Amino acid sequence: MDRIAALLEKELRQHLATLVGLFLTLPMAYLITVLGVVSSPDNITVLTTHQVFLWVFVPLTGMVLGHRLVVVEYHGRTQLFVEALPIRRGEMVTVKYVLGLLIVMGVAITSLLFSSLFALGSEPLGARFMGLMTLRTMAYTFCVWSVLFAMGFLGRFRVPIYVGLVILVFALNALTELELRRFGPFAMVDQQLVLERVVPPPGSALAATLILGAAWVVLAYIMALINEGSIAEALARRMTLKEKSAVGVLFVAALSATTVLEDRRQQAPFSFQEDEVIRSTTVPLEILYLRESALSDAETLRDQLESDLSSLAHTLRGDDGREIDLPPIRVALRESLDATTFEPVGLSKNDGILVRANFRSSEPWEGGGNSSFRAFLIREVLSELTDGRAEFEPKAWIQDGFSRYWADRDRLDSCRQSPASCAPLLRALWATRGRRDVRDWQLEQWFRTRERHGEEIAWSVAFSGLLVLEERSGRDAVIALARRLYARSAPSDMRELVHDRLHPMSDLFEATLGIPFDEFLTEWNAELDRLRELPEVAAVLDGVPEATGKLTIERDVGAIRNAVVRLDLRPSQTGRSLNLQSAVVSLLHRDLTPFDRPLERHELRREERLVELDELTIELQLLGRYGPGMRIFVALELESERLGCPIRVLAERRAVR
Amino acid sequence: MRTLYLKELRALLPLQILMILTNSADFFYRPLTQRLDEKAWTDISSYIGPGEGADMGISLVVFGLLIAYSLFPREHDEGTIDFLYSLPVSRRAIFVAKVAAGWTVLLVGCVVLQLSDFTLQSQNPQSFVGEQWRLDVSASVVLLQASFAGIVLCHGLVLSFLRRFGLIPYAMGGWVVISLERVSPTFSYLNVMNILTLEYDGQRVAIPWFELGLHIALAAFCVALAYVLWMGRAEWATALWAKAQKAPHGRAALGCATVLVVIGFFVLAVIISLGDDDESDRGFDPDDDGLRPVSFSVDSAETERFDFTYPSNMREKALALIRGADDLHEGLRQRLSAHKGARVIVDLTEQSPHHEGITAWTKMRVGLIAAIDEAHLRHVFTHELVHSFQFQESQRRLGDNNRATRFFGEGSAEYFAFELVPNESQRRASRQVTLAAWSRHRIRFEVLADDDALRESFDPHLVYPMGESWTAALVEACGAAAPGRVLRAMGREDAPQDLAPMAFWQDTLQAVDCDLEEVIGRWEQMMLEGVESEAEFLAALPRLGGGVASADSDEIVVLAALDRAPLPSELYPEVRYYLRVRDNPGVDDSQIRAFEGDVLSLGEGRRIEFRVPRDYFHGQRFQFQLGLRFNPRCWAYFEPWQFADVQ
Repeated sequence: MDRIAALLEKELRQHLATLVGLFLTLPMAYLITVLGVVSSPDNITVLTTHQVFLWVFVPLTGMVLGHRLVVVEYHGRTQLFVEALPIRRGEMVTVKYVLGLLIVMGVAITSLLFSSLFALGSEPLGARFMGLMTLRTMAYTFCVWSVLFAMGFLGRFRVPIYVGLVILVFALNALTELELRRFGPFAMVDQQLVLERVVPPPGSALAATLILGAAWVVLAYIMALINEGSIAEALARRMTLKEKSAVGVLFVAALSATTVLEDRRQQAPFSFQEDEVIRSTTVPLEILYLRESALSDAETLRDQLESDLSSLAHTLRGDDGREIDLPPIRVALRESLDATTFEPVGLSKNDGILVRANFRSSEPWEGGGNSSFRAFLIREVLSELTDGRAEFEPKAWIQDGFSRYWADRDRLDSCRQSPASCAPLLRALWATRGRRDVRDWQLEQWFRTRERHGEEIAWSVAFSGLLVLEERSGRDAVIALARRLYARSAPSDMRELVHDRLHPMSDLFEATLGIPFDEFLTEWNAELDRLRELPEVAAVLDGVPEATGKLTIERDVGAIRNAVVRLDLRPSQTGRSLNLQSAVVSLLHRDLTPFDRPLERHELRREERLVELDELTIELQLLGRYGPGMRIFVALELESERLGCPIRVLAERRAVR
Repeated sequence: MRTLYLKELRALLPLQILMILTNSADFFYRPLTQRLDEKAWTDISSYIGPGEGADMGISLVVFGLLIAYSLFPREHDEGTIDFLYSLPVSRRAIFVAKVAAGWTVLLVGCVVLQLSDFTLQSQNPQSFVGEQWRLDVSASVVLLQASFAGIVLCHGLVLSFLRRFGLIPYAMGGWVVISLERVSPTFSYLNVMNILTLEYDGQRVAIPWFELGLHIALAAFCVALAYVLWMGRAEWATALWAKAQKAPHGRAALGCATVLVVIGFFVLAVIISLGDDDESDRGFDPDDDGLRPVSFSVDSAETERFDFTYPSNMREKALALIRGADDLHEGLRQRLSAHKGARVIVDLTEQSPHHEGITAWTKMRVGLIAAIDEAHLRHVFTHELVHSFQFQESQRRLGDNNRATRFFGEGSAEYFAFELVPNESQRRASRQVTLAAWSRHRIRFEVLADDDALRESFDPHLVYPMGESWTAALVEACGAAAPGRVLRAMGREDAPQDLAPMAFWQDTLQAVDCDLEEVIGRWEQMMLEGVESEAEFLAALPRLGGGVASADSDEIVVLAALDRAPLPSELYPEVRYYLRVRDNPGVDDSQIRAFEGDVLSLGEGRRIEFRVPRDYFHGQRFQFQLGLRFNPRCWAYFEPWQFADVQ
């Protein structure tokens, strides 16, 4: 007993200055914590002071004590003097551990007592609540001190191990289902510490805390006692720069590895829960129709989609004759949408496709919405089949064109025979009028083309390409092209990049169809020119409003700017000559970040106005909505009855100055 | 000199390799895990986004200090500096060679980061995303990062003289600067980390020249001080330090210095905290009752389900609430099919200028003093009580998934508050705000359910009225018990964690046999019908646009214009106009300042003027949104956020 007392006295004398320092600084730390908590707008109870103190200052106290009691002793090799005395090595370690534990525990309990005193004025504190807080505080403190004490024996590797532990904990929290805040010592000091008045902490968390603490104590003893403490002594040396760097490299490698490894609990596969769902028996298709009155429309759509999808699966079959596996496809009725607006919904990987559409029978739906929707859905299916690769821009025009081609595959002959009544073809002819030929760079930069023309028109241009291809080389050529692009799985790494570099568009046409791509482009444009000259086509196109748009940023007071968009109709095309009284003009706009990306239609704000078409110039304004230094996108669309879609007369990205 | 410089570079080579690997590790793994031809520059270099970049500071601080600590301390501690002194070069040359080598390593690390990111993004041939890289932005980033790292290196040269002790005042100084910045954005120029936060003027990086110059000047002073300390005549400083470390009284002096530094820091922290508590300069908030803290004695009361604490001088007001509290609890419990749960602790002494009530688990704080009338108090109390049930029924998962659930947490609390404390006029006004926002901003459920996305562009308080209407749609689609079941589904043992907002809601509703698509469908239908029935109001509600009209050294004047006649005063007698400002979308609600406008003219010009003290702004740019409140007891309608230059 005397030996223990002597050891205790030695430790107290040796670290007196540190203890005095802690005694002077910890009350200040507590005071600042109280002030911080009380002044916080989200403070719910002053007991939070204790929680914050346990999170921040108890570990700091433990680190200081661990450094003084263990690290300094072993780094200075002064433990050799103590070991030379008739004292067991284990006794020395025990005295250090118990002394540190008592001090850290004392600090934590004092914090609890003061916090409780402060809280008494605003909330009742029963014996049970106090007991629960004390239990959590003691368990946490035991664990924290045990970790910090044991770390002291790891000498020069303790800092890397601290960092490593932080990385490990971060990785487990971020990449697995382990919820750190509900695990072991973290659960002891979460918000429930100062809020849960009745229920004890979860047994598993309490047990984990105690076991973890005990394990670190065991580690400390092993390090201190094994080989007469020579390992701890050897580790106490200073790290060289090379060792530091090597450890750093290991951490970088470990961090990189965590980005690849992920083991999360999967959510249940997505499915519709309502009774108002009809399913296809031939393809993985479900349609949510929500109300009884929509059932017949849903059935009609199901039949159409069944036909589209099963024939697509058959067409894209592999070389071995096996049909491709279509992803689960779901359509949800959304009556708040107009008939030509469709909303894809983001689902988890492997959950397939979900698209919202208003498929109730109506004039707009029958007049083009239905066809556009089917094309849209096929486009989504192609993306899903290729893990998004179908949307890779240099070849994305084929995806857009093929989707429309497939949805309209039964009407292609009538399109060719009577182009004036084929809306997609008319749109393409209108878009390429007046020497606005389809160029290869427009196809390569398809997203820009799509932004400039609007989706409907751009899709129709792409469709016209496949129509021309079919006419030139037959349907098999179109299908061969589609199979080449969509009947393969695209790896999600650099192999796909290499594959694409080896098979550019020219190679794709040459190898698959035996046609030089330039030659195809020439034929495509020639065919569009020929069709445009047909009298019945020319008559229809003449009835499409010909207009230009101009965006001007006007200065107002100070730094206020007004975006003014002017629509100029061609002089010969006022409402009278167009046989129109009025038309809907849509101003689409939004602010942009400094870095461009394609914009989805639903991201744009829209101001619609019914304008009289008896004037040559129509002006729309956005007063003070965008200021200097902002970048904006502005598009102006004029509804065209002849083409069955809006025509975009302006699409511009502009910096406001 | 050149030989010395190369020798130092060789010595720092391991750190150079480590820095390159740390910053550019993705150069090696991205090709193996991603299709690089689909990755944009912003995907690869997340630090180049507007308002981003400060995260890089952590790595640069670590390497700046590591290098600084590798230059001199070891040479002195191990005595190898004497070998250098024996060479035919001046001490100045030794110092310059070491500092230059250190900065070179940092610069190379920053340049290599840009090169590796450039190489990765250059594989993308697509328009828009493949054309994001710009030399001027990349060069600006190198300039800022290398300058920042160099500044930290200079700090480190001085700190390293004090060895590890130097890190204590440095960390504390950092804390003080951050706290000062929080108290008043005017002090933000002191925070060197702000140099790394990128702001853009159009597509160009706006370089913070003033802050950069200031910190470079301070860094130059640090270099001079470090030279005196490390290389001073006869090495008086290093000798003094070594002596102090060896002698007992020297160690005592160092210990006292440490304690003094720590105490000084705490004193400063107390002063800052008290300053932070001063609400007088927070600007005006439409939801601020203008209340300031007062002192009072408190009494307590117990009911079957509650423990109340309330100001003694407001006994009558408190008792009016307390009498009906158990009924509200029971009514709510039944609607949520919830367990009785633990007793609820209610502190009615709340005096926050930020909110009328706040709840966590079974502890509620409600502002009795601020309550306009009894009905309003009961509404707020019920709203907070719903939160208490939400925490318990969802096993706290509602809060854990705050990004996805904030609209539902606040919205369902509003919904039940209206159900249990009916107030049709207020509910209608709340719906009108919802309808205006929904129809004008085209806010889809995907945005409402993602709090980060919502607050990036729109009024963050929209979660209250919009969430209320969504909860109504949930009840309509899935039954009256649905809100309670949804909460319990969130708290189920096997619920997957960290799902994206849409996936979270699909999973949660699926777990209660309810269809998210149906709920969204009902909600949008409800909105469409509402837009129709409130068409007159929506047509009359003006839209606001505006910008900075003028600025001087004291204040910035923002002018707003109404695009149509103001709301008729006979129907809306108390219309008020507001301006909110914030630094960036990432700030929390307490850092959003709001100001009421003065009507200059509601005639032809229809202009509203807002005066904002200049010290509310700390960057070169800020965000503002304009709004109006047409019902004093309801939320205000706000336009989307837009950027402006401070000027």
